[in-house]
Amino acid sequence: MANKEGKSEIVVGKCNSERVRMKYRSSTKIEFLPDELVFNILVRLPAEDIYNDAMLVCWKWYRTIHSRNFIDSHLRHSTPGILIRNFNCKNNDSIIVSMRQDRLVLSEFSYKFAGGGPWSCCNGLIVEYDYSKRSLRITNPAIKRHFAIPQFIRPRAHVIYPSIAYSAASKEYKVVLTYGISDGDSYVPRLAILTVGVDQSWRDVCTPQLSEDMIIIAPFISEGFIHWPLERTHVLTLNVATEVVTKTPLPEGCDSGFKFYLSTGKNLSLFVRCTVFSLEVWDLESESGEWTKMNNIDLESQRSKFEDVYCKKNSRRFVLIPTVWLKCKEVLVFRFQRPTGVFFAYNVRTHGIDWFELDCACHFRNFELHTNSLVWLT
Amino acid sequence: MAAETGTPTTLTLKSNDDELFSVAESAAILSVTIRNMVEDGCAGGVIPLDNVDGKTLASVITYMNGISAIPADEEKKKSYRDKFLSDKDFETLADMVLAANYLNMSCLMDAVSAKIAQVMEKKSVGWVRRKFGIENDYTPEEEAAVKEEHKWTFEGVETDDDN
Repeated sequence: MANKEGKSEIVVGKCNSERVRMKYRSSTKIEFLPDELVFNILVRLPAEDIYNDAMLVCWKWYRTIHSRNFIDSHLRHSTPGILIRNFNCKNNDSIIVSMRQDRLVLSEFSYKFAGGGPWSCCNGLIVEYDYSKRSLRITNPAIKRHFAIPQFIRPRAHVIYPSIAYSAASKEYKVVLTYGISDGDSYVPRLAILTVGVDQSWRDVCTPQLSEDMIIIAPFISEGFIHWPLERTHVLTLNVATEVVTKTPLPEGCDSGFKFYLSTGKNLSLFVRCTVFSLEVWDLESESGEWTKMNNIDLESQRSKFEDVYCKKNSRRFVLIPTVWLKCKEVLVFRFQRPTGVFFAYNVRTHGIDWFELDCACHFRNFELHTNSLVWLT
Repeated sequence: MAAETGTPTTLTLKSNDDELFSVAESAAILSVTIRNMVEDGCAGGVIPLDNVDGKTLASVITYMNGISAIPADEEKKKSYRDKFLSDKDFETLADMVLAANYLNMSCLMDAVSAKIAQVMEKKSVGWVRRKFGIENDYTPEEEAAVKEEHKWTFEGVETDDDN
């Protein structure tokens, strides 16, 4: 049944594009604003408003909204938020934390995850696990589409942390899995890739660089690259377009000190803790494998704000953990090492600090950055 | 004495309904259109702005004066823009975006576009059509087909469920 449904939907899609061509006749209506000004307004609407309302306004808007140029432009105008699934909540709700007009906004995520995940997000596409099909699927909740991914079948394979990334060169999305083949006491690390909509089955990528630790590490996804920080000494980076894995040593002098990694969306950030309240920050330029030293983050002058919140909940000394970047590296979200449910958003530019509180169960979740977009795979 | 340090030059702008406005050149050249006219030496007398009415031009000039008084602080400029647009209704915003486009003021245009999008959020299709002066050109069948797209769609591999 599901297949039939799927097929009939695709036919509807074709009908529409034919109708669009038929409709390509000159309109005599006087429209209020020139097309390019309407375009500039529509790209700033949330994806759901475009999909549920704007698309129904008239054919011209329908055509505009479905153009590649519009979808790309809308994606560039959308700001990602932190998508957090709360397993403690009885309705299985997820929360999205985003910045709007420089303020933190917590809102309920309209999509309810039925299976496992979200595992990984890229340009509005979410990788989740479909228990009924025993396979992964890609979902864009804003435009209500699922795409089922071929099952991953390997004997004795232990799979964890699927990720999705975009190859701009080929305009393709790829899903990447690290997995281990059980070999007595240890696992032999493997890497499998599936080009969405192209590959019918998973392809193994053979490279000597792989490390057993990759199986237990949640990778970080930057623009066109996937990174696995390993053994406190180097980072393995997969170029999604070329499917080549390279090994980048950490910047000199960074071998000691506690390290954290985050994706900025564009690059990979490395944080080295100097003191409880200060961090050294490095940026990895994925293509060249070069590290650039950024301004240190020093929260010493703000320590009372952290202490105020923390001491209400705990008496022990606290440790701050960089959790996610928001607003293209403008806002760094921290959490305490102990699960308090409190998160701080520190604006690197203005030095302003805001905080929000979630269920303590959210503390250990993956913090995926999700963008509401109209992007789809076909 | 004042002339040596440069007396602020004043330009006269004329709206399409023949209202005249005096504005400091330093503020007016936020408009690339006006700046080009000044640079081309066409700003001697009165600058006619054929696509902007008096009411909108008065508003744009208020904005020009306000924003040019703020030193290079993007944060403050942004909050000025937000405040400036906060009480404007849809029709005024639409006039502003047309004026900003004609005057080639990209910052104002971006801010007004964002504000219009914000006003449009959660509004009905009927409201949008009315405000934008758009008639529904869908036939009932076409409208039904577009609505059909709103249902959840499954794509990808065709897995055999009996497997």
